[in-house]
Amino acid sequence: MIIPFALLGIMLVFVVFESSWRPDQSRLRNSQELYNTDPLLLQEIECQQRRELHLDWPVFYFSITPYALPANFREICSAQDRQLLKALCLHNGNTEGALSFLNSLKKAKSREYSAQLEMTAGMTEIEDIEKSIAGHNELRSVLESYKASDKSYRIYIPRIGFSSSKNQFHDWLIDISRFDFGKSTFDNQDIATKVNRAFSNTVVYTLPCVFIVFILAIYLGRYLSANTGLPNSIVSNFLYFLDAIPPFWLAIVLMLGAASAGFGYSSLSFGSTSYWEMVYQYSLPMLTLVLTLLPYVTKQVQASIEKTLAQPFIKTARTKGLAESEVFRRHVLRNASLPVVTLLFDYLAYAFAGAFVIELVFSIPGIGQLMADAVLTNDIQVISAVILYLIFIKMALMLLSDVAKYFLNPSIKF
Amino acid sequence: MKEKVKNILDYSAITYLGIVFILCLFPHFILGLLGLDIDVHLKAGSQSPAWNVAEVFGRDNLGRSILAMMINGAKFSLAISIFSATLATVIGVFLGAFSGFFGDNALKVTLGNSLLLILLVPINFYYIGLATNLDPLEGVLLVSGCLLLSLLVWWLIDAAFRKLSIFQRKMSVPVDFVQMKFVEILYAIPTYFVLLALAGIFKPSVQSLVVIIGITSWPMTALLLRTEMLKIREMDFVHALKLAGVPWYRILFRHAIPNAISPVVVDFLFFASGLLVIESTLSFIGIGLPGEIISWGKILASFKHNSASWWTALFPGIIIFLTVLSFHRVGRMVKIKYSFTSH
Repeated sequence: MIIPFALLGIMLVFVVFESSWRPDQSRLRNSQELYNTDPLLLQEIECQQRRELHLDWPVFYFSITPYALPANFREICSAQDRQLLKALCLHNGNTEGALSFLNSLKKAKSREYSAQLEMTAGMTEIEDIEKSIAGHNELRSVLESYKASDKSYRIYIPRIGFSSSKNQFHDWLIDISRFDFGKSTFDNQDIATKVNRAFSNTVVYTLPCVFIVFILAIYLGRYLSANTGLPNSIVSNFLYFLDAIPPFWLAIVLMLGAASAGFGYSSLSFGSTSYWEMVYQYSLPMLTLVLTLLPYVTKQVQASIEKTLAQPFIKTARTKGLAESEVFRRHVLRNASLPVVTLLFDYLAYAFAGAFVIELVFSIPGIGQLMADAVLTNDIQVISAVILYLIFIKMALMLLSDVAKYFLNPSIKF
Repeated sequence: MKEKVKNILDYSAITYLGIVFILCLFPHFILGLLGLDIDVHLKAGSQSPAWNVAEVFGRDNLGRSILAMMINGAKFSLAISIFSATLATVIGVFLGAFSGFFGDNALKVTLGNSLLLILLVPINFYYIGLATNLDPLEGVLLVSGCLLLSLLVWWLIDAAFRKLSIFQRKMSVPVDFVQMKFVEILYAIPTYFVLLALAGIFKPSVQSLVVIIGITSWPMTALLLRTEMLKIREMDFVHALKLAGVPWYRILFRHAIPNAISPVVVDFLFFASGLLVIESTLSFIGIGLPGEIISWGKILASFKHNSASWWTALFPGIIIFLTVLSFHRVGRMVKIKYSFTSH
């Protein structure tokens, strides 16, 4: 049941991310090429990158394009040329005319440099193009012959193309099945190692946090269901206020508070190697994470405990003469643990979401920081890699949660 | 005594929200009244609070008065949270109502109709996609022509299919199953990561932020309405309407949804307060809103440039916190009042 929907999710990720991905050429050039303004060389680099990233391949196993566009449209490497060709082809459907115009434009550009011709490539309006090539008789005659034969019907006829396994989706799927996410367009590092490093940095403190939260929540839940009146209202109001505080603000306030209390917490001193130093550095982020996760978990655990306490077998256990702690440990906790364990496995993934803001405030180089940096630098490959990691983790957790539930209650059937 | 405290809290929450709404409606008027401006004063720089109107909460790293920014930012913070909550509620109500009302077996489609749908919907989508690349007039003509033509084809072929019994075989559409699986996929990834991923695709603007937050947070509403709809579907009046021959869309929109919508309406303020926190978090990171627009989260973002300037973090944070608390308080009042009158 999980697998087809995981595949569907993966396909959605591919469609959304890879289709919107435009490699930013300026980032990929090394410094020597950056200062080179020779347009032909720059175009050569662009073409090479397109070929390396297989962007000239079809996107999926089949494709539907207008008949007016040439079949090898994706193989034209310059983005500006593609834009011009698309505009011309979809204007009156004369594909051959548009291609010959593009070729003669290229020839004219290679003969002499003219700023006006350079600008022509990015244009989409036929009137603008006419104006910009006004000085070139040869180009004008090609454009006239393009305009002369109108084949508009071609725009509305779709062309259905099938491709072999040589397409971008297949390629991408094979790559991610090998955990090869390619290289980041931002700093040219291997994405898999980058994401692995970030995940290990996050897991190191979120995992203990989730367990602390659940242990605290069980104690608090027991306390809240055993006490009424003022003690109950103090604790529950505290949790209620905690729930209303934006997590990132809580992180900032705790950081400021620690700094003013003389703990000298500096957000920049991460990366120390000593174990105790690491614990010291992680203590404040962990406290924040615990406080942000606590209210919701406590509410759920308390509900679960109260539901169990209302059962008749609790009354039996009490009349049997068991001590209250014994009742709680042997009867309440056992029976209340099933929904709590489901929640625990859900929360292991959700803790990342809570950790995400905290990492930004405390500058922890974890998954949240990586994601935010990727969004700010428009590094869509890293974003898609992180999302895929999260999907895989969630799938693994779902499986683990089912196994744990089976151990807690063997009468559950699959 | 306790009742009195509760009443005071309720009224102060309402008053606070009232003040914030007035700030949203007339920010420039109030700024003028207080003699403030929101211009950049690079010379003034980051300044700690002092006893005058402009600097009562200090200045941020660009020398802007924090008080003025808070007054000006109320508009976008509240508008984004309320509009995106509305969008999410509308999407959630429709999807939840469909999945709850039809379940997996109630929506039946004949084989012929489903074949036609599978054929015609992709064709229409293709031409709509093509139309975005053409001139506006040509595009509109193309899309409307395509839609009209497919309606004609539908009408003709459907009439032909009616003669053939093999195409009249009924199949049920598992609306509920498909939607629940979709919700599961959305829930599989923590919300903030979905938001960040979408923010990476869209260009930063107020509208796109509303859309991004709206389309990622509808599942809660949908689940709420679905459970309510499961109850209403089995009620006598729905059966009576079905027997009376009322068409399904009339039952759904006229009778079922109005009866099921109350928990969603009651939860709206809680929902909006959650989205306010999400919006301020995204602005704090610097994602979603373009640079020139000020919201409460944006003020906090200047704390990142200078972590010694505690005032840029503390005061806007308190405002967000108080707004969320007041939303909760008023939401609870609505809940109590509503459940009192309806049951």
